[in-house]
Amino acid sequence: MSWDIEKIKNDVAADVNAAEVLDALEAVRVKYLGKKGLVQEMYAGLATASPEEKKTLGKGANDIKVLADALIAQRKPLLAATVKRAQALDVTMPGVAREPGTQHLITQTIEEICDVFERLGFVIQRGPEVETEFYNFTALNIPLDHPSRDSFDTFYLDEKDPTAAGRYLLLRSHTSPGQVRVMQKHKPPLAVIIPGKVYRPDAVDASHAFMFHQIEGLLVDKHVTFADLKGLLTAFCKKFFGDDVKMRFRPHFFPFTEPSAEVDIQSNIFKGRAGKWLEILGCGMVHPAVFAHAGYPPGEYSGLAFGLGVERIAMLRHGIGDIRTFTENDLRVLKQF
Amino acid sequence: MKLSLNWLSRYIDHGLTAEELANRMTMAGLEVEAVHHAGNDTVFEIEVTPNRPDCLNVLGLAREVSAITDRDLKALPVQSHPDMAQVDITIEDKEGCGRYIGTRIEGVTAGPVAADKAALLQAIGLNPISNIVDITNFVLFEFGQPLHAFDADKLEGGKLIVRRAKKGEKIVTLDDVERTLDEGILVIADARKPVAIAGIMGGRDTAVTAGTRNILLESAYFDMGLVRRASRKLGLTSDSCYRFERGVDLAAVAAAADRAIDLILELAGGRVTARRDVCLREAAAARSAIEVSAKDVRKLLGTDIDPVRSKRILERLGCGVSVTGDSFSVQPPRNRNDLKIREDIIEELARVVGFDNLAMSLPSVGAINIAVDREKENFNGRLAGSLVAQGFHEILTHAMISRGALERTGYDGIAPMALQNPMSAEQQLMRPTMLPSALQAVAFNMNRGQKDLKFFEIGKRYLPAGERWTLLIVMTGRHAGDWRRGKRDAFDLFDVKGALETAFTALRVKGLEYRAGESAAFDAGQAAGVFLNAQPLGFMGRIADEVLGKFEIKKANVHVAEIDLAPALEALTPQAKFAIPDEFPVMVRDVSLAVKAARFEDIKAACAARGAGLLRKIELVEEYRGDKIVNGYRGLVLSLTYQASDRTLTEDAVNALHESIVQELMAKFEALRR
Repeated sequence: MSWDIEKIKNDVAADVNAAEVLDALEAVRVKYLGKKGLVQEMYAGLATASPEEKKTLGKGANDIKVLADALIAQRKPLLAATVKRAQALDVTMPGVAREPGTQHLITQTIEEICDVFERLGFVIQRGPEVETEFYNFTALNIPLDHPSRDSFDTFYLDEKDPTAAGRYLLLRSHTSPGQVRVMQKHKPPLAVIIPGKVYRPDAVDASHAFMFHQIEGLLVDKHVTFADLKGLLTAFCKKFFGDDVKMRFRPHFFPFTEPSAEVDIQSNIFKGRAGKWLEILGCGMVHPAVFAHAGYPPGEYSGLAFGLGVERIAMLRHGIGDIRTFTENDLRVLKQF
Repeated sequence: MKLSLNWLSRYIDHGLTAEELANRMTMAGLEVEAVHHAGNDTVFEIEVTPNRPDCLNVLGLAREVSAITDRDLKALPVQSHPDMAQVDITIEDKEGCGRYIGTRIEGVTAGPVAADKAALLQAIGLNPISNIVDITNFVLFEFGQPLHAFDADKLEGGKLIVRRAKKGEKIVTLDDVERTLDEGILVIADARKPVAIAGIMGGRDTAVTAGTRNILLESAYFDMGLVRRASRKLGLTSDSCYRFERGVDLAAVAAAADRAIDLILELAGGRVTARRDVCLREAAAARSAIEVSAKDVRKLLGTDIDPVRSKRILERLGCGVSVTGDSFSVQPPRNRNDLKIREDIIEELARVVGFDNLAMSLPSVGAINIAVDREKENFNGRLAGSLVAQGFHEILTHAMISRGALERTGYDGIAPMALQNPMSAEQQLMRPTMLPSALQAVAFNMNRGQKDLKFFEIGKRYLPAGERWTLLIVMTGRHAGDWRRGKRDAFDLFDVKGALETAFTALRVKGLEYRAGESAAFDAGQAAGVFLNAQPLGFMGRIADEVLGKFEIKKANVHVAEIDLAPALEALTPQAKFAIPDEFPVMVRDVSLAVKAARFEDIKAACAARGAGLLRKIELVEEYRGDKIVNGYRGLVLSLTYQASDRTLTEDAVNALHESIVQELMAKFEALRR
């Protein structure tokens, strides 16, 4: 029997290529390489072949075996992938994710502000919300019966002040009482920030709440100047509102600082408020009377203090028009921040 | 304070446009909050801070503008009117009234005021009434000294008495309202009745009218505290009251009276027939001078201010200044009670120069004397972080709640602190528990179609003994969907407990225990007390439907936990020491039991006791309650993990130990093997 080796090689290639599924490819393998396959048949033919033929036939059978092995090995993964591909995942289906929660925007804003000052070396302190008249007013040089108290209208509790006969405890109307508490406890140098809730009996509307948050800052050392106050708050505003923020220090009155100022800013990030000065914080140099109430010897220290309203800053930054948004706790709003 | 620029120009040529002037005044501490244009006039609305009553009049503001612009004030000629025949004035309350000047002018002719003055009054929002009244208003805004004109013929007994009102005494004030007075209120009375509430408002019945011929003009000094308290008590204020309670210039009482007399004689005719000045309190003697050196200025401001300029600023503001070397001796004007100490004087210089023109530097924060334990400091933040990672949303609720809301939760704890002056019933109490606020937040969201809620709040509860940092967790609805499973399980108590356990494990707080408990807020058998090292820490449970109904939450399973944080903070365990993980293989054996009354925790403890150091882990695989088990029993499948530190355990050894544990459980808890 004679074999057309070249034709068989072409047949192998054609058969392998024609196999579209793994089963067909297996049939091709069996056809050529199986126990009863063509290659075996060729080897069997060797026994009866002439020495001349033997040489050609032996080599031809080997070549065909090697070729078939190679072509099948090459074809197999392609067909296997096709099988898997038929069961392909729809990768656009949603991942099975755990939806993360959120921190309240007020908490986030407080943390972000505190973070700026912590990087500048300040430490966080906290004070009580239920306060005495001493810390809320007297120690801060605010006379109890005076119009300068009007801006610090106060909720009183039906709870006697154990430290002052006939007086009642109150809800702090600002975070400044923390100044004297910290100074009584620690000697300078001091650099603290005091975040927390404050309370004022204001009629509730879009910009007034009876409970809101302030952050107090206090830096006391031997040689603190008004220039330091300007520099510190300028650094804060640039970090917090961006380098292109415009600022002005406008003289104001607080009984516990002298000189006192309010800081107004303009920034592009406040939508619809371009070109308008917006007051964002009050500040000043610690009044000597406050140092006296803290028990510091006169003339020994100087200090700067500032206070900012968290809700106001968050409202400006995020374009929130109504302060009541913060305490409604609407999940659809909470998820936005 | 409204300022008409036409009015201002009577006393100073400032040479600025309205816009420039508004900006300069603002940056000197007199914030111009609004600018209105009316005809040929421009009106500023100026926020005058409570320390500057001297700026509540046009002359005072002109003085400020003089300092800001470094220009001279124009002179204002006022003729002085001497005391003449007596007016019968008695000051009974000598604390309440420091000075009272009464001037009788006879033969006035009531009529409209001159057009120029009417225009100025209109510009600042006052409707001209008649020449006499308008002149008193004009001088009020010019000098800052409140004045009042009585119709002299309507004063009974021809006399004035400054006294406290009698309890129950009544007066109808100019605004036609009858007001009932008491001893806390200072009045001007004639022989029979009060005719004015001192410093606040005159009486209707003695007011000047079109027919008035003879008037009695009052220029007086009333005690600021007394006026303030009376105003608060009566809920009545006025331009006059606003100035008295901030403090008027005792020395201007006479000048303002003279100015008003000049204008009345000029514009309404008549002649002065009597004038009496009862002066109990002299204007304060010159206060001692304040010493300020160039060094003081630099020390406070970190900037030098040119001494020549400083001197001129202070003089323009009305201070007397004498210079010695680089020191000033500053005598503040008598109407500037806010200038008391060196810092006050330096502030004057700084604000007139402009804060924005002062130097700026970054403070170097020295070594701070406050120790910070960052782990404790950040405790609340880390707790929040863990809960946020678990899918909880932080809420922020009011610290004040209504009594009703508290009662709806069945609260029976320590009596809460109450507010004396709440704005509404919603803010009567300082919350002793955060539960009502949390349920309100749930109700708010459910009303808006949000049914699956996982909220937490880290805030305070307020008790008479102090403020307590507290964690509140509330969950309602179902677990988030997983499309591979289809079914979404409803939240139950173990979700709340798991959230707590996850958070506290992350924070390294150990030793939390849970004991079954009951309270009015919760369904029976669905609540637990939470304890830390045997101290009560709070509670958790499923809110009773009845309570939910009262908060208008319908068809919901709401689970809550409220935990005190201070004890947890104290229970922070130290950072763990490294231990080499055991190398030998673990073997796991399960057991399925039916138990009657036994608690998991007791079963676990019994296993551990029997486990002889080889039992490493006891896990609950499943609980089964249903009809495929003996009545009264529930099924528990436990998975026990065995391991030794020093050898590979044999199958036989583990099987024997496991069996002995199972036998122990069966004996001890009457458990059945399933």
